[in-house]
Amino acid sequence: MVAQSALTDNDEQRELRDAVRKLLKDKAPLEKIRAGADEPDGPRFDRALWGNLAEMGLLALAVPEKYDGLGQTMVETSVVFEELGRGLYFGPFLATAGLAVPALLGSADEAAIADYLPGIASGETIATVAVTEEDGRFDTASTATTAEADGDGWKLTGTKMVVLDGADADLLLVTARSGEDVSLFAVAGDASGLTRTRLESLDLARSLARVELNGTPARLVGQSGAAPALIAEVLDHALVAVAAEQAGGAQVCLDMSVEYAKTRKQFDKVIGSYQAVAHKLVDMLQQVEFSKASARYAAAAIAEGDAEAPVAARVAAAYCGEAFRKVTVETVQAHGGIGFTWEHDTHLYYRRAWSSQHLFAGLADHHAAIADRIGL
Amino acid sequence: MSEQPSTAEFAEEVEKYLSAHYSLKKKEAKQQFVWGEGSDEVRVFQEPDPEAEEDALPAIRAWRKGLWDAGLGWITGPTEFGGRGLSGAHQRTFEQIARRYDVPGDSALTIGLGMIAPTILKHGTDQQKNKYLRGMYSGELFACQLFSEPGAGSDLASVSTKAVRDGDNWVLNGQKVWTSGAHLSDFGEIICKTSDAGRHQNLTAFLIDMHAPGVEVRPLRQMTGGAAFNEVFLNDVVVPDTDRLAEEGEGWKVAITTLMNERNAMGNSSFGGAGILSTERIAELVRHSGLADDPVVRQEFAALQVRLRVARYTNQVFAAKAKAGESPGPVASINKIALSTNMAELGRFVADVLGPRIAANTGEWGTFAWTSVLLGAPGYRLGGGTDEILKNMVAQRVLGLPRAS
Repeated sequence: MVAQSALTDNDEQRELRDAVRKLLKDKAPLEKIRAGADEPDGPRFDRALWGNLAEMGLLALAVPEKYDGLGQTMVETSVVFEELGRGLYFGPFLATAGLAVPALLGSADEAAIADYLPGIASGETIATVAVTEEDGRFDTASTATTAEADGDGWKLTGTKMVVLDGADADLLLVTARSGEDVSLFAVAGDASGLTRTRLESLDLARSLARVELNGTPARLVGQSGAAPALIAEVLDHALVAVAAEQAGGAQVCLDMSVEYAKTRKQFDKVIGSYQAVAHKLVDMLQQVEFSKASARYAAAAIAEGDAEAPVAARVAAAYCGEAFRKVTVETVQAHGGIGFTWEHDTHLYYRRAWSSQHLFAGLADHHAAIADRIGL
Repeated sequence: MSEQPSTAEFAEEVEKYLSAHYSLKKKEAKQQFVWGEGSDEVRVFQEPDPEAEEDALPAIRAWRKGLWDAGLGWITGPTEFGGRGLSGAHQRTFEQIARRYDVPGDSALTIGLGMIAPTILKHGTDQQKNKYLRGMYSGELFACQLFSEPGAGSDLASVSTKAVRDGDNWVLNGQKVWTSGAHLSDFGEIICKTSDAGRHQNLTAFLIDMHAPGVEVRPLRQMTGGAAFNEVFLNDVVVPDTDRLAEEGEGWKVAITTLMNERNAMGNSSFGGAGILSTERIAELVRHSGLADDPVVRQEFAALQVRLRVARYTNQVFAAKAKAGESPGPVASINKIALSTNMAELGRFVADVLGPRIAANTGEWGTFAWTSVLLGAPGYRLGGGTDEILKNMVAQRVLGLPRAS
C-alpha cells in the first residue's frame, strides 16, 4: 500500500510546484517555441533558463546528498515534471534528470557516479541516455552498436536513433554490445569519432538527434552485461516522468478549452452551453484528473519501493499517454478553426502529445509489460 | 463533557469491543481465488433471494444495536442526538479495524446511513433527528429513498406523486419506482408535489412510514432477471406534519442533499465484496480459456487493467487529498461515470474471452455466470444519475459552463 502522505503535496512540494510554474511563466512564454521553430537551424533550448533550473536545485533534486544532491524522491521529481509539462519546457531536463540520473544511480558504479553526478547536480553537465537503434525500441534486445576493449577503456561503433537531447549532451550514456554482453558506456560530448545530427522534431519543444559512433572512446559504467536490466529500470523511471509531463500538459489543454467554450459564441450562445461540447469537456476533465492521479500514484509507488510500482509505472504510462493525446485532439476540435492555426498554442501541445506517447515505448508495449508483470 | 480519546486510544476501544463479539476473518478463505472452487456467482446488484435476505436482517440489527450500546454506533454524530462527537479520523480507524473482523457490516444500510441519515441531519427537526437518527444507527429503523417515478427519472423535479394537507396531516397519492430495499424498510424519504408553484418550488420532502396503510411494495424485476428494486404504490397514505422534512416547498433542496450523498457513496464504492474486479479471477478466466498466450487477448486484458487500476489509484489519491483537507473536487461524479464505463468494458472483455460460452450455459464453472456483468452494466449507467445528467452537472458545477441548452 502506498502511504497516503505520498499521494498529495506537502508544503515543500507545493512550494516547489509554484516556483517551477512561476519560473516558466516568467521566462518561457510559448511564443519562444513558435519563434524557435522558424529559425533556419531549428530551435535551441534556452541556456539561461537551464541555469535558472539549476539554481533552483531542480537538477540536484533526485541526486543523493553525498553527491552534492538534495536526495529527494521520485515524488518531488514527478511534481517538477508535471509543471514542466504544463509549461511545455524546452530543454534537456527529461534527458538529464529523467534518463541519465536514474541510469547512473542504477549502475551502482561508485566511481562513475562520483565523477558524473556532482556535475549533473550543479547543472554544469547536460546528460542523456542513448539506447534506441534501427528497431526503434528503448531496450537492448537487438543492440548492434559494438564495444571493443581498447587499453583501459573501450571504443564504440554504431548508430543511435532519436536520442533525446543527443546533440546538446556533454555526457552520453550509450548501450553497446561486446559479444553476448550489452553494457552501458559513458561517452563525452566532445569525444573523437562522434557525429551528432539534430533531427527535425514533431514536438517543437524537444530536441532529438542521431548519434553516430565510429571508434569513439568510452568508459564502461557498471557491470559488463548489466545494461538489459538497468535500461528496463531507467525506462520505467522515464515513463513515469513523461506521464507527469503529460498530465500537466493535459491540464493546460483542458483549461484552455473550457475558457474558450465560455467565451466563444455561435448561434448566439457560448459553445459551452451545448451538450455536445460540454460533455466533451467533462470527458477531458476525467482524463486529466485520472492522469494526474495515476502519474502521482506511480511516482509514489516507485519512491516507496511498493510492490505495485512496476505495474503502476506502465499503467500510468499507458493511461497518461493516451489521455493526453485524446485531450489534445479534442482541444483542437473545441477551438474550431482558430485551434488549427500556427499562431495558437493548441498544436504545440498536440505535437508534444503524439511525440511523447511514442518517444520511448508505445501503448502496445505498455500493455504487453502490464500483462507480463501481473503474471498472466 | 469528557475528553476525546486519541485515535490510538479509540482503536484500543474498538478492538476490545469487536474482539469480544466477533471473530477475526479467516485470511486465506477471503484472499485466494481458486478456479472451480465454491460459488462462481458474479454479483453486480444485490439480488439475494428474499428468504436469505430476511434471514440476514436480525444479525444486521444486532450488529448495529451492539455498536450503539457500546458508543460506537454513530462515531461522528453530534452528541445531543446520541452520536459520539468524534472526528472522521476516528471513523476511519473504526472502519480499518472492523475490516479485519467477520462482522455483518453496513453494506445493506448504504442508502439509510450513507444518504438519508446525512439528509435528516442537515434538514430535520430535533424531534426527527432524535427519532430517526437514533433508530437508524441503532439498527431499529431501515430506510429507503422514494424519488424516481415512472414519469420522473433524470427530470426528478417533475415528480407527480401528490401530498395534500389535511389538518395536522398530509395525504399522499402516487407511484414511486426503482426503490431499493423498500420491502425491508421501516420508513422512507419521499419527495412529493405539494403545490402548483414554479419548478423546484413546488416540492416537499417527507419521512413516510413504510408500514402505514395504503403503502404497497411490489418487487421490480430488472433486465438481469433478478429483482434488486421495487415499485411503491401510495394510496391515501397519511403522514403527520411532524414528519415533513424541511419547509413546505423546500423538497428540491432536500433531494439535492440526498443525491449528492448518493454520488459520493457510489463513486467511492469499488464494488465492495462483489469480487468481480478481482484481477486474479479475470486472469484465471483467460488461462482456463486457453488464451493466456494470445497476444491480442493479452493486450485487451492489460487495457482493461489500466482502466480498473487508474480508477483505483485515483480513488486513493482523492482519499489522501480529502484526508489532507483538500476539496475532493469532481471525483465522485467522474468516478461514477468511470465505474459504469469500466463495468461495460469488463463485460465486453469477458464475453470476448468466453465466446459461445457466454451465449449458452454449458454448465462449466465460472463461465455463464459472467452474463450478470453484461446484463447489469446498463443499470450502472442509469442509477444514481445517468452518465449524461452527471456530465451536465459536472460541466456546470465544476467547469463553470452555462446551463445546457
